[in-house]
Amino acid sequence: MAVRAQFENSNEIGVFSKLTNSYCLVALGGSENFYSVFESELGDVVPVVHTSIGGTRIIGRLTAGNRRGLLVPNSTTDQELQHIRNSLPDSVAIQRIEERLSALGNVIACNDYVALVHPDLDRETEEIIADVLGVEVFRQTIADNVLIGSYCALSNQGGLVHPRTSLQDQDELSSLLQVPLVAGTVNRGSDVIGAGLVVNDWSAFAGMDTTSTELSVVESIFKLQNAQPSAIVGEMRDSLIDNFS
Amino acid sequence: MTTSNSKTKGKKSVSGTRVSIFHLPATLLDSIEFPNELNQINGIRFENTSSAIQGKRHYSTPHIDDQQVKEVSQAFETVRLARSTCNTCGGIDFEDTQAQRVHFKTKIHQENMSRKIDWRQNNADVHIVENEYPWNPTKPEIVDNGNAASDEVPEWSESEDSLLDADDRETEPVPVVRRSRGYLNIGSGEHSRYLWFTSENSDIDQQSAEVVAYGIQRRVLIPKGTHGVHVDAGLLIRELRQMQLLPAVIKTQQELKEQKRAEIERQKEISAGALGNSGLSGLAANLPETDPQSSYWTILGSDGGFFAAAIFENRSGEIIVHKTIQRYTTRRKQGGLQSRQDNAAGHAANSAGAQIRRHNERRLQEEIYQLLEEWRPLIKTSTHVFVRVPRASRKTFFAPADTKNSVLEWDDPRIRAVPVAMGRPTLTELQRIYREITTARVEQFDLSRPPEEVAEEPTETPIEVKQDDLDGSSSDYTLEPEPRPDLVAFLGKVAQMIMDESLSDKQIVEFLCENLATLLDAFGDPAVELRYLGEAEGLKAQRTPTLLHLASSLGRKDLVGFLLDNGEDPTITNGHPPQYTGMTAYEVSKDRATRDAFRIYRFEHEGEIDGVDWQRARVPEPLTREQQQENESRENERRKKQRQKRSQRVREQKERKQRAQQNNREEELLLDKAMEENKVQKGYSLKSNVAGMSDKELRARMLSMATGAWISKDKPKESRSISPTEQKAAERELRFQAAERRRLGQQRMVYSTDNCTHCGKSLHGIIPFEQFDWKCCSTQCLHAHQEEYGI
Repeated sequence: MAVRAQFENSNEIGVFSKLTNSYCLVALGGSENFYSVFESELGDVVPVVHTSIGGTRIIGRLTAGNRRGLLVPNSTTDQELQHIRNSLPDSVAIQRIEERLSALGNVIACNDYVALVHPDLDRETEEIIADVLGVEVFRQTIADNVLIGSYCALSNQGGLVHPRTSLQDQDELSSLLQVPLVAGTVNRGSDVIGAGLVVNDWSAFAGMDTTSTELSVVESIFKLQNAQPSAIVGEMRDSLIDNFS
Repeated sequence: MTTSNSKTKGKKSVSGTRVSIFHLPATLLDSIEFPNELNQINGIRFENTSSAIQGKRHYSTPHIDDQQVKEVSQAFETVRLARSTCNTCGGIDFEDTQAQRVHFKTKIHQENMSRKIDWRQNNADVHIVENEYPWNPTKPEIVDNGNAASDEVPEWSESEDSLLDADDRETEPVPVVRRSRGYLNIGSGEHSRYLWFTSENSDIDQQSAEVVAYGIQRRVLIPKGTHGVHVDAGLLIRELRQMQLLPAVIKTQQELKEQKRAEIERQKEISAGALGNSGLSGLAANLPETDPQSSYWTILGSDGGFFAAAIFENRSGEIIVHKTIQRYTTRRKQGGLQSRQDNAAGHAANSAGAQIRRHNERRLQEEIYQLLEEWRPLIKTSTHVFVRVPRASRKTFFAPADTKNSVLEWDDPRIRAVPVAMGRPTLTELQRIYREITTARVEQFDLSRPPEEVAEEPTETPIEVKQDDLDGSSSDYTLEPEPRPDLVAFLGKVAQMIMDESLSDKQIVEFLCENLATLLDAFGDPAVELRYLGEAEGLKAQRTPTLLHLASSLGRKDLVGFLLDNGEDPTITNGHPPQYTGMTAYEVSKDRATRDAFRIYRFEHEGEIDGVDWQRARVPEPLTREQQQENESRENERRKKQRQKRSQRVREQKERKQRAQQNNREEELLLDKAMEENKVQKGYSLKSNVAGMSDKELRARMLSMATGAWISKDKPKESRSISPTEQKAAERELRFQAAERRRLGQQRMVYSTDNCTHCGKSLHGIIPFEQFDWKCCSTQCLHAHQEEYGI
């Protein structure tokens, strides 16, 4: 299900939260409303961790991660690191990265298999990303914007990219990522997809301004209509039975 | 005239329609073919949506308008193929994703990318046209085999050639368009589930090379096991021809109604008999007779304690017998059958719930066996048996191999898996599946264009076709029958009568009873649209598209029941166009009485055979007549009370007003008196006067001072005018006096000479504890007093 949420008065919920298939980070100091949206949707499936990064609340833009790991910038304090370590499942690796481009969420877009990164990212960082997140890393731009994390949202089911991404580029990217992509907007025409939308394989949260048209595009491309954490089991079972029968 | 008109219509809407596979048009069957092209390639269309909206800003800054929204949604709906290319390095095509991924890590690619970024920084507002690379990328050397990396010709072109030139096909191996290469979106998957047949006789221009193809579910024609191994076209066509049936017998509405009534009677008898007899055994004698002119299909489904089975008669597409069973077998919240859990855990759980589920599972299986045994003759005559059952519980349907004489055997070629997605097994679900697998899709393919541009619109709304209209050749793919004009006129007349306020409900019902046959015909005629009042004069057809809507919106509650009785469908919604969900007849009801009429009807007719889908009609839970009367009386009482209350309130208000007026008048009188006195004294010897004034007088003075009326209006008449200083002095005196009195009043209150409200003790010399207007000598007294008043 795709749902709308708002952090204080801001629609850019992607700035204040980070969502993956195995955990969800939310910024401190938001209203209970904001947290309950996440908790009611994800509640008993993945942990919803309240944290700050380097004392700031813009955790969504500072961190990058997927099911296997979480990357945090150098500004993260030890206490925060400890808190996150204690709150996340043991299977999730956490790594602090020394990188000039410290807003990792803005420069890295990834799902569980592929990461697209800013062309100027360090070589070491690239290797760390590949190791910690278990992904193949590609330096890429979206609609000629280098801040790839800001301008797209990816999951293992699909991806939403900057509205000005040419069709050629979409085809190219979708081949690279092996998921269908669509160009679109969130928050009533905002092109900063990464800031307006957080998504994983079975749920998506978009800013309160997002129109229902935008939301329906999100639902279809990320295949959220009847997605449940366990839907994959059902799907596989059906197809298996079809194959064997 | 009508035929030519409908002919053009038929041509337009040919793509995306569905026809029954048992009643394919004769023209098609005469020259049916099974073309390889269509069954290998599935139409994929590329939508070219490059639009250059130029602006000063960075070209990627969004400028969202309708066009943009349309583009986005179009681009989304269109089936798109992922392409392993690299546009940064000047539009290279790769063999596969692997090659593309390798390329993306090469140095040359990264150099090109930084070149591109630099260029973009200097040319922020330039929109790049496709296949233009103004940042001058250096092309990498061709790494892998030639045809992939450097070939300028798009890949589809070679396959296109070979598709069209039949001669070349023999010499060259046919290159199959690789579908695995890219990511195919929704539509294509559905497409591949169909076998596509074409016919030379199709009524389509030869120049445009467009073909009308009929898609039939694979599983219908190909038995399991051989699926996807080898498809013998001749065999398929023979089978398809064998499947054809005569058109269904058309029954008049009157007959249908009789039949329905008889059916209800029969059901009642059965249920009455079943009470005496035991369970299902009573049913055996009641199996309907089979018609040698027709064929039968069985659909069975079982999942999570739900079981549904139905046998369909293919000629008319109707269910002849059906049964659903539901038992509590799956573990709540955990899911999964109890037996599976027992097997997995190694030991049987011993909780009460587990025992119930285990028992239910066993009972369910017994019931299914029993049912299949009852239906044995029908199942034996069925030509296809579609089954949806989880692998683990396959034994539910298929008895173990060693049992002799079981009704269904897994090896039976008639048995197929249900080829479409299926929800929880219910009767409606079975009906939906039957409809889906027995309809052939009609699609238009364009072979002249490259496969990527084949016009194919899977999103087009499929038009359901009534089977009895498809009587072969004469129809010419025409899918929109013309309604009989007399019926339309009749419905219009009834609408006028309903709107005529001089006619009572009873009169209209009488009229309709007289013309019942016509009415039933009109409702039953498939050509009459659902929203048939569309063209009737003098009414807002968007709001009231049916007679039922009209009757309920005008509050003709007696008519509602009558119309529903005669087959009017309450689930039809108004609004235009129809796909926008409008309001049902219930929802446009004029008043509560009309709504109650619906609910009472629901109470009295719920659970009938082919009953109304009340959920969709949005009629809330049923209402008995007694309940309704009770509601009515309660409502009346409430109204009465409300009226009383209102009148009382009005009375009180009036009184209050009067009292206020009286007070005002008194004050005015006092004011006047004071004025008179002043005039008499010929001067403003306020100083001497104020001390002797009563409280009310003083207040009046103060009031007049504040408004200034006293001085400015009355003054000029006086012979002697007062100077401003005098006036000020007078005012000051007045104020002082007022303040003094207030103080005194307070003092008086503090040193009250009253007695304690509770115990009556004198309050002289003590400060009382006060609440409201009570004064008490001590807190105890106050508390006691409070308690008395229940505070």
